[in-house]
Amino acid sequence: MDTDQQLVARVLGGDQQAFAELVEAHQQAVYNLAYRMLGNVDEAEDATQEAFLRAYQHLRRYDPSRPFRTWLLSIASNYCIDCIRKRRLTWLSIDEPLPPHPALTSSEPTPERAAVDSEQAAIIQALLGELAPEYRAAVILRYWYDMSYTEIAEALETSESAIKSRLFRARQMLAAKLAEADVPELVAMMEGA
Amino acid sequence: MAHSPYDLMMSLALDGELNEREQEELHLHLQACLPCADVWQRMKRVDAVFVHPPHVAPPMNLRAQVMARIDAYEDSRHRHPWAVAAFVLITLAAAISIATPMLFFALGLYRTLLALPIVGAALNLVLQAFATTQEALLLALEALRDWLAYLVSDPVALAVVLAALVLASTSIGLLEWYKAVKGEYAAQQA
Repeated sequence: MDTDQQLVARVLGGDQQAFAELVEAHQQAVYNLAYRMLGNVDEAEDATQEAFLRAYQHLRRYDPSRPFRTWLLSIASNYCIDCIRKRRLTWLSIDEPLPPHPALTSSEPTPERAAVDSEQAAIIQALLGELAPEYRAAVILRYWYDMSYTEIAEALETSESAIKSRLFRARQMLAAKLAEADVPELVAMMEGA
Repeated sequence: MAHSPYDLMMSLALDGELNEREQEELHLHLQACLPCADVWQRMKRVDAVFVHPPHVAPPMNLRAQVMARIDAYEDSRHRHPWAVAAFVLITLAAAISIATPMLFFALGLYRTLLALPIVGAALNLVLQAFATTQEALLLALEALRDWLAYLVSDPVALAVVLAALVLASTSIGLLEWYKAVKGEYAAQQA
């Protein structure tokens, strides 16, 4: 199986099918990022398509010494930040959490685990909705994409110290919002999970 | 701003970014400082909520949709050379249509044509039409110049015109803002 770099080289050589393999390999990561950033499935789908299209259009700018996924997520997160900035009104609120996505999945969930996952997803989405887009992106990339400060800074085109500060402030805000949400049983279950 | 250097250290600790000495320093501080120990507990709760999120499955046809957009992009790129060729031809035609009459007059060829029976009469009419249009434009420019001179000399008139412009632009801005908000509200409702 070809590596991402080999697939990119094939695409640059004119093999469009190789890009389909890249989409297949990374669509889950990009879609999850977009969904977490934007909070709804339709916008997430559009953003995922747009991110892949932009990656295809600018593939010659990709530096093969960097992981392709980091570069792709950088495009996706910046696009999502732009989308959020364009929204003139924010409708998400901790008091009105979004319904959980119908396709939420976990491996062999027990009914109890599924209930926790569903509630957790709603809480997470509502909490994320409270953060400014730059903070939201930093939290998502740190927690769910296991990126280092350096990688997040590169992806969001800022400095490492700015990322440290954003993560710290985001955690402070999230801690306050989580306390307001008053879900001690759920937190206890997740801490024990 | 962090209320103490330990606030930022707690965030770094959650990311595994502290060395042993710093970890020990934070640990000792948390044992001695109740407010910081409380912040630490709250940050750990956030960590517990965010560390294992349920994954969201992308739509089944996402890959096909992405590739369809890429196909459309490639099609538009392949059409691109034709668009460039069309643009060059149109520019060339426009340049010729402007340059030809200029050369025609500059070289004095129009005098020969004016001497011809029918073509000369037609050309004469065209020249008269040009002259009339030119005069009309000059009159309009003069009227505009006089009006601006009056406006500058009369502060009340100037204020009225400026107020009308501000009112008109504000109204347009508010109308556009209202349309955008209404559209977003409708989209959210949908």
